[in-house]
Amino acid sequence: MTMTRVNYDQQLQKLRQSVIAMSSMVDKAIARSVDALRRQDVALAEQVVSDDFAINQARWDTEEQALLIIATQAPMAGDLRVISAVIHIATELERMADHSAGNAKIVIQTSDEPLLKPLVDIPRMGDICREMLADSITAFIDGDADAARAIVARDDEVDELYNQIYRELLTYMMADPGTINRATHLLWASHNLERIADRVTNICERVVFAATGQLEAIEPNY
Amino acid sequence: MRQLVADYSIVIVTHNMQQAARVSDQTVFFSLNEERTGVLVEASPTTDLFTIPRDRRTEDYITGRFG
Repeated sequence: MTMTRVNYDQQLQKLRQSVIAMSSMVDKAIARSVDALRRQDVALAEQVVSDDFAINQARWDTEEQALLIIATQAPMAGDLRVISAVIHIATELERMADHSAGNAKIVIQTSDEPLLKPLVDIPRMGDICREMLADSITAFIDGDADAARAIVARDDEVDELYNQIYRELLTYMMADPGTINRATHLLWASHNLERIADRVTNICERVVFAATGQLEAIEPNY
Repeated sequence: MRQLVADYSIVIVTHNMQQAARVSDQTVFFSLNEERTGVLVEASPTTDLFTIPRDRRTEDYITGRFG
C-alpha cells in the first residue's frame, strides 16, 4: 500500500480503537452489575448507573467520528462497510450498557430484602456474555466472519441458562407467593443478560457484513 | 444522462469515483500491470463494484489507496 492516505487510515484505525475502548467500558458494566447483584452491593450498582453516562457519550463520539469520515473522506467498499458496522456496533454496545444499568437499578431497588438464593446461574450468564462480547470485538478487529458466526452458537448456552433460571424461579414463586417480588426482579435481571447475548449476536452480524459484504441473520442452532 | 439512457448506451471514462458511482449501471476498472500494459481489472454492476469489489486492486483504487 502506498502512503497516499495516511491520515485516512489513521482515522479508520482510531475508529476501531473507539469500538475497543467502548466495548471495554461495557464489559466492565456487565461484570460490575452482575457482581453487584450477587453481593447486593448498592455502592457498586450506583457506580454502574453513573458510569452509563460515559458510555452514552462514547456512543455519540464514535458515531460522530464515523460520520466525519464519511463526510470528508468518501469511503468506499470495505472501508465503508467497516464504518457502517461501527455505527451499528456502537448502538448495540450502548444498549448492552443500558441492560447492565437496568440490573444495577434492580440491585438498588431490592437491597432492603435478602437475596432469594445464592446466585450461580446469573453470574454464569454474565461470564458467557462477557466472553461472547470480547470474542465478537476480536472478530471485528480481525475482520473474521467465520469467528463471528461461531460466537453466535454460544447464545444457545445463555438462552438455556435463562430458561433454567425461569423454571427455578417459578418453583420458588409457586411454593411461596411471598417470594414473587424478589423472584420477579431476578427474572428481569436474567432477561437483561439474555438480551445482552442477543445484542452480541447483532454485533456478529455486522462483523460478517464488514468482512464479506453479506447482510445475513445468523441463526444459532435450536 | 440518466434520461438519455432510455434511448442511448453511454460510456464515460472518468477518474471521478463519485461520478462513476452516481451515474452508471455498470462499471469497468482498468489499470496498468507491472509491464505498464493496460489491463481490465474488474467489470461489475456499479452497486457491487463500489461496495463489494472482487479484486484487491479495485478496492485499493476506489478507496484512494493508489492512483
